[in-house]
Amino acid sequence: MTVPFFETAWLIPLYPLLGGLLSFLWSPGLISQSGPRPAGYLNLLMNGLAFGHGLLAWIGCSGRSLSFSWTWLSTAGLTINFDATIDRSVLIAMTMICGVHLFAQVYAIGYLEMDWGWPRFFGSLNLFEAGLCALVLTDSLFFSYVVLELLTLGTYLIVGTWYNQSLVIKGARDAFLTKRVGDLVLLAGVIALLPLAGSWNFNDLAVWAAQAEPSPVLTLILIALVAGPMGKCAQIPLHLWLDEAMEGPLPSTILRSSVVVAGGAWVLLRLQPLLAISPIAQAFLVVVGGTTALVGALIALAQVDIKRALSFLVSSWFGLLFMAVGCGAVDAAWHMLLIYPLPMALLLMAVGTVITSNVTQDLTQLGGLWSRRPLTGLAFLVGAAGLVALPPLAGFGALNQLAGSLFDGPAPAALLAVLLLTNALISAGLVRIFRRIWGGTPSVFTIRSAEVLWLMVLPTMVGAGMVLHLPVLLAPTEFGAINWSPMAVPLLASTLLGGALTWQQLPHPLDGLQHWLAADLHTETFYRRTVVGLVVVLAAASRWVDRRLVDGFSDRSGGLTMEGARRLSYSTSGRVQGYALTVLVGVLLMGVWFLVRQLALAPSPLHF
Amino acid sequence: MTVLTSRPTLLPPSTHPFSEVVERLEAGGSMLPDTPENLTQIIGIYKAYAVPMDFYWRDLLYIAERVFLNPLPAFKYFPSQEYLDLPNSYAGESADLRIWRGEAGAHPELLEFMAKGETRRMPKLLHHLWHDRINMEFAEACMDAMFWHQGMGGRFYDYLESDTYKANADRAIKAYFKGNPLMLGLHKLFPEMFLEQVRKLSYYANLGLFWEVMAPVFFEMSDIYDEGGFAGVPDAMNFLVNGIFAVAGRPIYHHVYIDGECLEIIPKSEGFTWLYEAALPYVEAVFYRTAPFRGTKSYNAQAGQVPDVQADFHYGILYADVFPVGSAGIPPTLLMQDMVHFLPPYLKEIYLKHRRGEEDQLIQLGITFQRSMYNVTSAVIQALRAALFYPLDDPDPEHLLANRRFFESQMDRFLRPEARLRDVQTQDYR
Amino acid sequence: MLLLLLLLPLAAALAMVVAPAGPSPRRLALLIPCLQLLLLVRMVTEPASDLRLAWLPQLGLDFHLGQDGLSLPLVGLTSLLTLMAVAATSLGMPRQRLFFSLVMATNLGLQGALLARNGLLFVLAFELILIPTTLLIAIWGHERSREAAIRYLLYGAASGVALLAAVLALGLLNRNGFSFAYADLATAVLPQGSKVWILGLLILAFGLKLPAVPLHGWQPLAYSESSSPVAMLLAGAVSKLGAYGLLRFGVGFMGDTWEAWSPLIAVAGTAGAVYGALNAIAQTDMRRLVAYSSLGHMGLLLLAMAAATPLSLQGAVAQLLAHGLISSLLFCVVGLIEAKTGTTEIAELSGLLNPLRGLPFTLGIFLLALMAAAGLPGMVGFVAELVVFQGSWTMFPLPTLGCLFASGLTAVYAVRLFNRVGFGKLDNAKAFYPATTWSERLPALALSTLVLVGGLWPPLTLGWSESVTTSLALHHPLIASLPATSLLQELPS
Repeated sequence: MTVPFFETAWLIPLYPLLGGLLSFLWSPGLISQSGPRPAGYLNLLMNGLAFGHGLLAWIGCSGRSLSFSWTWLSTAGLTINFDATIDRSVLIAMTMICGVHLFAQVYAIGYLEMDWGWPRFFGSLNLFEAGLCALVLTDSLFFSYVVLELLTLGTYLIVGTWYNQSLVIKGARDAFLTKRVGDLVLLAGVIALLPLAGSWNFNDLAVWAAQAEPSPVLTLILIALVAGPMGKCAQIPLHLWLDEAMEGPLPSTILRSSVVVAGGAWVLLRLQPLLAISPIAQAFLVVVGGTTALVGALIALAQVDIKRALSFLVSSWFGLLFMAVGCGAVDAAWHMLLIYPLPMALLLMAVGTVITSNVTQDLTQLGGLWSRRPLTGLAFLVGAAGLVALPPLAGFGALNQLAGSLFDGPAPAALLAVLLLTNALISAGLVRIFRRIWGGTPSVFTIRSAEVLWLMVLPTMVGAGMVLHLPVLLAPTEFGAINWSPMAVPLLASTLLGGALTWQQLPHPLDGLQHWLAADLHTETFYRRTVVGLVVVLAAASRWVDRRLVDGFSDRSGGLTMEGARRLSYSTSGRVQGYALTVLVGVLLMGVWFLVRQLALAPSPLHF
Repeated sequence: MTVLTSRPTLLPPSTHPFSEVVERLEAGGSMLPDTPENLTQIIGIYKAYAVPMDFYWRDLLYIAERVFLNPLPAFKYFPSQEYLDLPNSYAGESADLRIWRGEAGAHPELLEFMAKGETRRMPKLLHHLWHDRINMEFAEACMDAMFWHQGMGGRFYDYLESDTYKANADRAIKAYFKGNPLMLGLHKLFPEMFLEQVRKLSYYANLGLFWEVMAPVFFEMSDIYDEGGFAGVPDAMNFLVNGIFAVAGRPIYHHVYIDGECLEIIPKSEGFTWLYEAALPYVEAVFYRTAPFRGTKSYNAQAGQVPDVQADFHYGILYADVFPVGSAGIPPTLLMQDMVHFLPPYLKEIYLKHRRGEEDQLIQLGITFQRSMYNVTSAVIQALRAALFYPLDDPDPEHLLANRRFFESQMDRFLRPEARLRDVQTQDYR
Repeated sequence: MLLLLLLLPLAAALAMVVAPAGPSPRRLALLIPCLQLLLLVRMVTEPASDLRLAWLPQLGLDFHLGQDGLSLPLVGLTSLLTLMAVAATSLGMPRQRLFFSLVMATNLGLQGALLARNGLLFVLAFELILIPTTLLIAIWGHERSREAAIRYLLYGAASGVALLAAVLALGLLNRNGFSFAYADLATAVLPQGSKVWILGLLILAFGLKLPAVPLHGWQPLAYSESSSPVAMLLAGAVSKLGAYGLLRFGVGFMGDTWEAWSPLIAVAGTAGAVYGALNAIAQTDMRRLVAYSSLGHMGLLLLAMAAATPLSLQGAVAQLLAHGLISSLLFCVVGLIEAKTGTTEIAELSGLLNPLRGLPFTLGIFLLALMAAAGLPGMVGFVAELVVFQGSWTMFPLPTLGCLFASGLTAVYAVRLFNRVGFGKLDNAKAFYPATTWSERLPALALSTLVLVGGLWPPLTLGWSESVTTSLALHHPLIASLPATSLLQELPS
């Protein structure tokens, strides 16, 4: 009975796409007598259909795999196919994407109940979902790039939902440009790869990579290929956009931080066989990942805004994932990717209920909510526990596996130190947020704080339940067994230690650098002075060149010509004889020319 | 209250930046200039506001008294017929004090809208899903503002922390969850959680009882205007002032009906009055303060766009920028959409003639609404003056000076650039 | 059939000038391109045979028309853009008869040049376009339109003279005999020393038309000062003639010389792309910004033509069509915004997305057009750029990277423009703009639909010219250097 669901699983991205397109019916001027909420309900319905289809397909999958290909472009020797494969891992990913979207959309119906911009918002969310499902379906590097680029545009639109607000438009613009830069570098890599590898299909590329030789050009191409995922996963130096994108509505933050960044990591993992060719590229990944992991967590600890305190943890976690991929610990990386979206979504949902009811995102203005909001507090704790290495929850299994791979890999001491330190810092960051919001005494902003609408609390609670049960759900898969690696105990210790330190509200480890970290390493100023500054200077210079030189030349030549024309016009004497003479001279010249030409055409020893 | 036709000559002219407005207030007028179009606009919008308000107060009481602590209140916007028929204490035959000459049950226009909406006759659920309904979320947002803001005067806020209240609430919670071990267990573990919910529900009741009064007041004003009974904006304002004084002592209470039994969480005997516990906090919380709109202000902690102190919040209708209405992140859009269904024909005509006509009605009526709320605020200011200070025609210059200082201190709150007091002085502000 | 294609605009132009009364010139001007498009459909399914009439045999001028995969899509583009430009004119425009007859004359010249199979006929048609377009710029433009028209005329005249000289040289110096027919020019045997300066003249002539940096002095002023229908026609159709000429004459007739100079041409193209994008970033007026954006995209064309592989030439054709659609869409939308708000200064506009008092529909299309110009997938600009890059990479990797950089810069000004004009808060004091009507929105809607369709269905831009580009191409590299797996085909070289 479930068999046809598996065969038609390629329909799954199309449901949310349809929902997103139907949202256009609520554009201004079309359906306006009644309100825009049906757009949200419709998108939710489509989402539900996609989720249901995915779930049923997963159940009916029973280890089979289905591949198909569809030619999109074929010209002059270039053929671009949309290759897709449906197998169990793809279905798990699609179901998870649709599931998290389902949570986020139900949550958004509650969170945005005072908002009128539903068609744009929910439509964009569904377009995101369609894109992500297509991303996990496809086997083609080219179409992965296409989806990433479309997600960049989607991010611009979604962060710009509240476009009347100045920080929003700045954030949307920066998010778009940062990710576009990453994507363009990826495009350069994709284009350059084709002549070398002959195909854009991931499976073909893996086969080719097995016997390819590293070379400087190839290394550059590989580093370029990494740029796209780097932008998507907000790794240093492309990390600024995630901070600024927090200006968008919280439900979009939930999705962006949980599944969209996971999409970037998915592409990275599929590129891994290629990256394994070049040790330099791998080292690059490790350096970028490790730096981001540490620095991201440190920045998060210095943040005063809740959403940003969590967003930098996203960068940090994915830094660890990049490190894993760079070291070749692919299984650990897949494991990490699998268990990441739900806890992060849960954390953001819990925090969102506090933001709505207490009109503030400032950690210094909150506190003392435990007695009145224990349920969301518990949900936050569960989410936090699911992300760091705390057995028996799923985060521990993943990090443990990573620790095991690092232990057996090159440079174990340094990398394990990074892992442990990052784990401790992430744990510290999460406990700090918890303590600031739920611990302590109530502030003016939190004296009155009742539990919010059921539409928000319900997904949060269900999410908490799912995170608690993740290890159980994962048990039948290959990620189920916990192999206690030698690093297990230090890992656990680092989690507890980090948490304990912030529980005691000890000062920030790099207290002197607090301001520098709180301002996100002044990255924005740095960008403004270097990259942006360079472009602005070049643009101004080009404009000057155009104005002075080109315009000036045209003006002068135009002036000269007009001058000449005026002078010539003086020769218009109005006397017929003068004209007749001119005509005669002209005719004579023409006659001469004809004569000469005839001579030239006649066979003659003369050559030009 | 008398309306003086000339400025009292006992005082020199005011030196306040809003001197014109202050002097108009001293003469018994409103912050809104007295023009025929202003009168037409505000009465029309009062009527358009009062019809959804009729729904709001009934549903608010329904939620406070019946839905109570339901954990999944999916149908809280569907008040029972009992509440739709609930007689308004200030309208109809059975009223204690009949302010409105009309009937006591739900307004006929409201009932018609609930049945038919802007589309056609459908079951209530379909109307709800198609968003062809009254936006009750707005009422809840007003309630949230009153609930969250502190320091607005009255005893209600502090009473909710007192032991009597806690005991009453505890009894109600236990009675509601009788036979539900999960909820009772949660209550034992986290006693404050459900208590806070009950506090919120008490504010539901508070707001519902507040609007129960305002709706018939507005209906009556519309009827009087239709008969030509208002000579100008000050007349309309005075009607409001008289209404405020008439109802000032109305008791505010919170009764809950669980299994047919009535439990008094806030009994009438506590003596909370309408003026001090409902009206003034409402004006302060909803007209002046509320919360920054997500669509125009960033909540980013590092940007510092949201004030640190609640009293500094200035996002209510008196300060609001109405022009972004209709785009994302502007909560009053919900109220504007509610009002657009019930506009009287004379107001619709005005809108058709200006700007983009029917297309941007929401913005035009939003600005009209802003004008009308300045009028209501003027009524509140005049009422306070009458209660705490001196009559307008008091012969003693010292008393008049005290009046003036009071008016000027009220006008000080509108000095900040976001205040729209300057804009509503011109007719061109649409 | 081909003759009919040319007779239609000629008859219409004459009718409008001569007949004082009769059908409204605007309606006639809307009808003619529609008829041309219908003829085109017929020509696609059933290719028309060449038409060859002797005209002035002593001069070597034959009235020789023919269609092939390169001319056909450009003919279609010209008709389509003429239709859109006419549809975008406002109903109350002054001197309509003159305007539409000039538009018809331009259309005639363009179609003639595209269909010509004789060098002198091509020059004739090329020159024919100059005067009507100059008048169109001068009479119906903005404040500086007269200056813009004069500059355009001067540059255009220089271009015409250079072209005439080059074509004459090609015809006269041909050792195989005196002929201007394309077939003969393609196989011409020329004295060795002359090839360089002939190619130089050709590049000068067509580079002035394209325009290519640094020969672009007329373009920003002309595009920004002309009214938006005229700009649509200029940027969308007339500039394409420069590229067509380079393809036909440069790559087609002077292949080996072209190949020798192609590195320089590729660098010039890249420099132009970057220069145009940088200038666009610095602009404060929307019309100027779109003009420089158009300039930047022409640089990509030069790169593709320099590389001269079958794929890159396909990309060049696709870029011609894509750029034609996108540029004219951008000018159409800017014109619409100007008509409603009265200004194109970026600093004076903001928050036009406001659903009740702004121009949400127009701005939605504007976003689409800007993103298409930036080369975002899903729209026709991406298809063209992708094929250009992939085709040029094997020949000129560094210039291709430069053009990718220019593409990034395009994203910068596209998103900055939309941020400033679309996002933000509508200025309350000025926010009293009239709404757009459906008839005003139609041309923009039609063009944006084509932009989307072209992005999703590549054969719209790539399906016409494959045989022609393969025969024109100078290099035939393998896309893959290894024995490819099943997904790639090897090219016959």
